[in-house]
Amino acid sequence: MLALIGRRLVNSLAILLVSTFVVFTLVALAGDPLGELRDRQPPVPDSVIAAEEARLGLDQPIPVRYLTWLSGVVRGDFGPSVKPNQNIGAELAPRVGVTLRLVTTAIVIATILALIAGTIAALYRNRIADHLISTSAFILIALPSFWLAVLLKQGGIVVNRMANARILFTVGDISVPAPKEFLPLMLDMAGHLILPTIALTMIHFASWSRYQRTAVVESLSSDHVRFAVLRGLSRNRIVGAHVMRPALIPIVTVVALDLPALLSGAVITETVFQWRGMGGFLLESIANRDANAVMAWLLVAAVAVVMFNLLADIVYAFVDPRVRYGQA
Amino acid sequence: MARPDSAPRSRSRFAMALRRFRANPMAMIGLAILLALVAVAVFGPMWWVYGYAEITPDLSQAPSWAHPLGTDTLGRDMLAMAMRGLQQSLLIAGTVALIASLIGTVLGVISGYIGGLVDASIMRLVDLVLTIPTIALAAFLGNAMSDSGVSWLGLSLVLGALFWTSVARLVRGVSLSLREMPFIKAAKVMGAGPVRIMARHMIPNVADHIIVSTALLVGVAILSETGLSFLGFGVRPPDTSLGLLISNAQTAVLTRPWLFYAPGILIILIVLSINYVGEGLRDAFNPKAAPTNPLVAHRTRAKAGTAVPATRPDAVVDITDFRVTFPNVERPAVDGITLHIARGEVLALVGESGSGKSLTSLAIAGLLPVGAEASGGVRINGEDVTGLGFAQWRRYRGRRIATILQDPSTSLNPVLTIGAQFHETMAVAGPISRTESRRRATELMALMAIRDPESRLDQYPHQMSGGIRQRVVIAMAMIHKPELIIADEPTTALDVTVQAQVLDSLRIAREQTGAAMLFITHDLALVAGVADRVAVMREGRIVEQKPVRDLFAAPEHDYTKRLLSLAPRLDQVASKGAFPRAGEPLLRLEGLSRHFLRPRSKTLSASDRVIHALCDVSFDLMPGETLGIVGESGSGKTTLLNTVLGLLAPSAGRVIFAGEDLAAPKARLKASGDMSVVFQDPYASLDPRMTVRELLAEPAQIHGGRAVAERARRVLDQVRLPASALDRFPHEFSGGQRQRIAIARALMLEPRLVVLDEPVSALDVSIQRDIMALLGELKRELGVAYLLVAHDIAVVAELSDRIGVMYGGQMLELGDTAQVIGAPVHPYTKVLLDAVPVPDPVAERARRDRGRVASWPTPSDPLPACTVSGLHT
Repeated sequence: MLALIGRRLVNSLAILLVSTFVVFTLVALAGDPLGELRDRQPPVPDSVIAAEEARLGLDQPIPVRYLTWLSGVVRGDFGPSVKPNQNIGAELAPRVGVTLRLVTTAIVIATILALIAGTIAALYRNRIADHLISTSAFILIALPSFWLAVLLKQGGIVVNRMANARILFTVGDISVPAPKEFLPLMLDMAGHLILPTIALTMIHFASWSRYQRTAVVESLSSDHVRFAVLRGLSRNRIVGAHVMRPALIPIVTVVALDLPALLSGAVITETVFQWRGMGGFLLESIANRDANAVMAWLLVAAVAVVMFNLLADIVYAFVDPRVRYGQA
Repeated sequence: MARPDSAPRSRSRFAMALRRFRANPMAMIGLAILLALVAVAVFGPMWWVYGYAEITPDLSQAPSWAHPLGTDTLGRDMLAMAMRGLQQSLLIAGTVALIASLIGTVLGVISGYIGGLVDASIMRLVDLVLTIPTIALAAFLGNAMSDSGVSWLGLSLVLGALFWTSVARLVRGVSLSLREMPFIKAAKVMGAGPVRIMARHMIPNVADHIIVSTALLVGVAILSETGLSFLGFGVRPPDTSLGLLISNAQTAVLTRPWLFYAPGILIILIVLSINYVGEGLRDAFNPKAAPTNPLVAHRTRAKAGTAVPATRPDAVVDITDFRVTFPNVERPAVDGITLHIARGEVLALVGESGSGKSLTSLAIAGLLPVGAEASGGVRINGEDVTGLGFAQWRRYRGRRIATILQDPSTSLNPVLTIGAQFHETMAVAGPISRTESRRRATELMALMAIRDPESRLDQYPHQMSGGIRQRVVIAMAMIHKPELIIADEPTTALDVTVQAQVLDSLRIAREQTGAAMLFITHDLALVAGVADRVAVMREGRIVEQKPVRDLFAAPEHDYTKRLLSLAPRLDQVASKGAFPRAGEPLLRLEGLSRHFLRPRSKTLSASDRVIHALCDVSFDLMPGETLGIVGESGSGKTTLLNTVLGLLAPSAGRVIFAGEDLAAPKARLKASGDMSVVFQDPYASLDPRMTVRELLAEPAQIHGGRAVAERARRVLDQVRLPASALDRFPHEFSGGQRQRIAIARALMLEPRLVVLDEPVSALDVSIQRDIMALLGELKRELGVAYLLVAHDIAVVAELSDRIGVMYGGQMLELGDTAQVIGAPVHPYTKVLLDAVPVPDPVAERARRDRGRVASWPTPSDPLPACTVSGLHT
């Protein structure tokens, strides 16, 4: 088991190294961070541009720049930003926590909902419950996340207006100023989480529930479920141990694969609800063509994805003994 | 084209899929909406009075006749902007889907077909792209490309370059499984190169998956493009897109809702219709049998009707005038059978596939498939069980009726230990402690002659062999001392020597519990040693029902007689003359070996990792001779065959065909014109996308034969199929006919050697006989040599001049058929021969009383170690 985790960890590191290099090259080739500076009217003196180039390391070949960047990252320095006086690491770090809060809550809730809805739809296949769940899932999958987010936000505003009180938080990830004590702080965060989480959860839960439905339908028609029925086991035991457990294997993969999409969704949701999360940072950096800032963002995202896949592998091994004994 | 009389019009699989698609209302509605939206996007702007950028004097107007979707704060007409947005979104999404599926298909097929290092690097690339959140990179690249925003093409390229992974993964998965399909292997044996195989066989067979995933990608791409535009990194003003429109209307949801809802609903409509179309295509291309749900009890409809009186109240099972029909099928699957099983009696139900024997057994356990309509009486111990619900069935299942299913590799739950599965089965009768359930499980497994039962309880099913798994299943059947054990083809999936052990276990189980047994099988020979009474089923009816000795001694019905005459009798093999062996051999194997390596693991030393799949095998095959190789699973017979066919490279040794070493460059291609193959499964060995004409022409295309059409007609005639078969697809033929087509293809180039890989084992008994007869006649007529591989020694004995017996990768005995069958030398050959059931109740029972021959290998007389080291490879 430990050996398995170790092997995966090494593998993940390798993927991270290669992927950062490829992305670094792409980002470096894609555009000139100083384009705006060069086009400025009246023209900026060449010496200023040259100094700026040197500060950002643009005068070096890309592999050298990558190595410099990499050695910086290992020491916790994400390189200079286009914006003078901005420390990318210090700016990004608190935002990562904010976004992770949103994404993890959404993953947990969406997975649980998908498991329940998908399983019910499969157990009552082609009956009313299934038609209701499947149709709603189809509609939710077709909903653009930003549209849903805007709708929820406006809905929250309407509710607040009608109740003449702040029932739902529609702006920001935390109240300003934030409560000092622990419990009110937690409640405040949770309150701000409600609407964005609904927006992010809905869409992913819907598509995952489709996968779960397929998995359970397949599991139901497998021989070992038939044999469990013929052994006279109770319905609960059959559904729990014989239908659900093998059907957990596909959903783990799907959730792990969808994490980048969730991060993309988080960018949109945060923008709509004006959170100070990773989303805002990314959009601002892109608009500024701040290559190092975008790289830092992508690195955090890639690490999150790789770590999550590692977690999925471990869950796999727990669910499926064939993986645990290395014969899958 | 001349088409004979009333043959139904031949349909390609594509045409059939189209028909299924049209029958799917949701998909058709989706398609209609989608087409309407596309039409609006394409033609709408030409016809509508306002342009999308045109500023009218009507500011912020609610929807009206002049502006059906209202206007925005600048006075622009919303309908015009929405149509423009639709146009942009569809154009970009369509391009993205095309680019992505093109890249994905090419990389996926290459990855799946070539495998190895190429596959590994492509899959790493996929992993890499998958770690990047699309929106982030797309936004950055799009933004960095140019100052004035990215063009639609640029955006499509960027998104396409990020979205191909889903197609590539899918196509690779399908290609990987296709690569193992016999029809791909057959093409390789024919001498087809990788490009031909990928273009002619792989891509047509993944095409339906590609169409489906491309369709679904359009939806995903629309959502991404609109998302990017919403954030300001996609389509930019002055042009417009649905995402941009929503972004502009963000703050106006309450004041000018038309601006917000119209583009949103348009996006939902497009994506929804695309998804329904995609799902509809998927279902149409891969029609699956309706999945079963054993948790829903099948209730017999005719419950309200007159109850059928019990004819034999003392019987364990009493079935009267039982019928099962399926909607839209004319002939009832079970057609009014009457059957009973007395206490402690063994009733064998014998029949070929489609005879209704399995449905009968399912009815007794209450598990008829959904959609089946049953009538008549089924009584267990005199109680009517038709119409019971799930909870009521639980009084019978497990406790009073135990069932053993056909395939032991799938009937146990793969993610639970054996001990847990024993425990839950015991807990059916009431709570039981873990220690108690372990103790009883150990006892039962010891009864089943399973060694070291205590430690087996902590293992998972995949850690055991098939024979042990089936004995575990039998042990579970004994737990509650049932009154009836239903054994549904319990040994069909097992090797013949294992079959003998499992039958012994079944006997013990019956003796210990005193249960009656319903033994279902297609193999009449097995019945002789097992049953007290036999019922022969055919096409839903019982044609004959008799005590076992009477049935074998004096069969009355023609079908029973036919089945009996078809059962091969090894004890009556006519001694054949030895084949004249002089001159140059056609095929010569010299010390052929093939090793595989187990995955690295701490517990295995380097030499333990080597699997000797094939170890130092040598023989000669003369022109016109038939050599039969017999062996059980894992014996190395398939590896031998694949090495001879060039599907696997040998680790050591040589294959010499017609005097040429096949390892030499170009020798294999040359030999492939003289060597062909017939695989086991006729459903998988013919490319489903090709007509018989194309299938037969393929070897000639590769080797440049002339008068192909003429030759195709001739080989069809040789395998006794009409020339009208030429324009049909394989799926229009029965299993036996397909095997004839496969044989015809093997004969196209007038080969000197035909390799037969289990040519009849996937077929019903009566069809087996026909194919065997055909193979015998062809051999006499054409003088080809056969290299025949089979697990059934009776099949091998009938066709072969010489027989080789394989075990554990080694050739243990090789000799003339009469000698191997009549006077076997090696102990394993004796075991193998002894395990073959004899279709004669008296002889079979006498043999059982005599006891089986000593098994081999034993710890004191093991399989000799392979002398060829596999380590250096």
